[in-house]
Amino acid sequence: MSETAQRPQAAERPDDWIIAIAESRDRESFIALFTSFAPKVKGYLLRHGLAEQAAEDLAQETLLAVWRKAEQFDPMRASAGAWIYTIARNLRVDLLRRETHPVDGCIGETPTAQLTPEDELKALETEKLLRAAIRTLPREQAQVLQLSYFEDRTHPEIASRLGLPLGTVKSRIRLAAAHLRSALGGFA
Amino acid sequence: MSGRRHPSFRLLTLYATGELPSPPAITVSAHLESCQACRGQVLHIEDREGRGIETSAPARMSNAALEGVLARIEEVASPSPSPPPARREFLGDVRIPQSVAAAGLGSRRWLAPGIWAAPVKGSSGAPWRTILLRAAKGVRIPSHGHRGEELIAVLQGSFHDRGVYVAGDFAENDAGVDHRLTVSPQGPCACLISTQGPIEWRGWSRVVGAVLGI
Repeated sequence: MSETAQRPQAAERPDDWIIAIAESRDRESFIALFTSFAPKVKGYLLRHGLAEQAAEDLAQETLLAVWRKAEQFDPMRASAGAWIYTIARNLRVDLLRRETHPVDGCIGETPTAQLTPEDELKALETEKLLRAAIRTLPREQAQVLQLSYFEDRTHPEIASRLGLPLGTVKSRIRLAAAHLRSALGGFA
Repeated sequence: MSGRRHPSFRLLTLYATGELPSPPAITVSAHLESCQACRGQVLHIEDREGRGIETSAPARMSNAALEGVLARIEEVASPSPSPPPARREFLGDVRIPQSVAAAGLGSRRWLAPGIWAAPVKGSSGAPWRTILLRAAKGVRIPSHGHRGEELIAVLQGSFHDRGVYVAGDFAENDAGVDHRLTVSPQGPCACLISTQGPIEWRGWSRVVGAVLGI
């Protein structure tokens, strides 16, 4: 580095601190930024319901991310406070998501089906098959299915209309759905 | 083509303050990718929140906090989190937004001839769920309702129900709205749809949905 290259002045504004970190990994600026912002970020996290230790950890992670991502800071686009806020907010959202979905994406995921243009054809066949399958149902099951799915009647309405106990209506619908499900097994 | 229908300020505020659960946030984020005006609104809200942080009451950090972080800043940054899942082959010409690419998609299921849907991963946080729905040109997406709000970000093509929605548009429907969408005859339509609770299909699609467990 040449003699004339300007070392960052003792920066006084948060924007300048972040720029000094981006340009020259300036530890003094980072210490100033940490001292000023970490307690405020922690306060923000506590106000949003995080426990003491989680808020402490996330405030530290936020400032660590500021060091690592300093090049991405654009003072024309956002103030230092706004930029640090978005980092803290995103870390908080990620934490909440991890707590809600600890193994997200690992469960309930069926293997990718082999997807070919034939799938399109299969889909076109779905409705035809469904209609055919319904025709194979016992008449009493087809009747409750018709009323329930195509005429949008509630189960009690169907029961009173057909003069059947509610339990019978429910079991017929269940049987009919199971029958269709096996008839359409190839499409599930 | 740029949209003319946007999320409400209320929704953008929930998004920008991190209060929106991730399923609907993915759909709002998809709109933001294509809408400079809404990105501007979000920046504005973030700026306000950032000023809130700058002027807020500090909380005491632990004694070793600064020392600990200084020791870690020289570490090589931990490898970026697992790379985004590979693009699904079934997507064809559907260009998915970054928010969806990062989250990944589950298996595709056909809802009816010409219509398929795939769940966005990490988007099943009750009661919200988000799906990518793609329908062929001219297809009528069957009548359906929902118990909670419904958000739609149009990614490709256009559809109409009571109004016309084109790529880049955003729809925010209240609970209980029962509607039937028709895809424009010009080309296929792809949307991200977030609903609170499962979509309640009517008629034929209801049977297919019930039988296939969609």
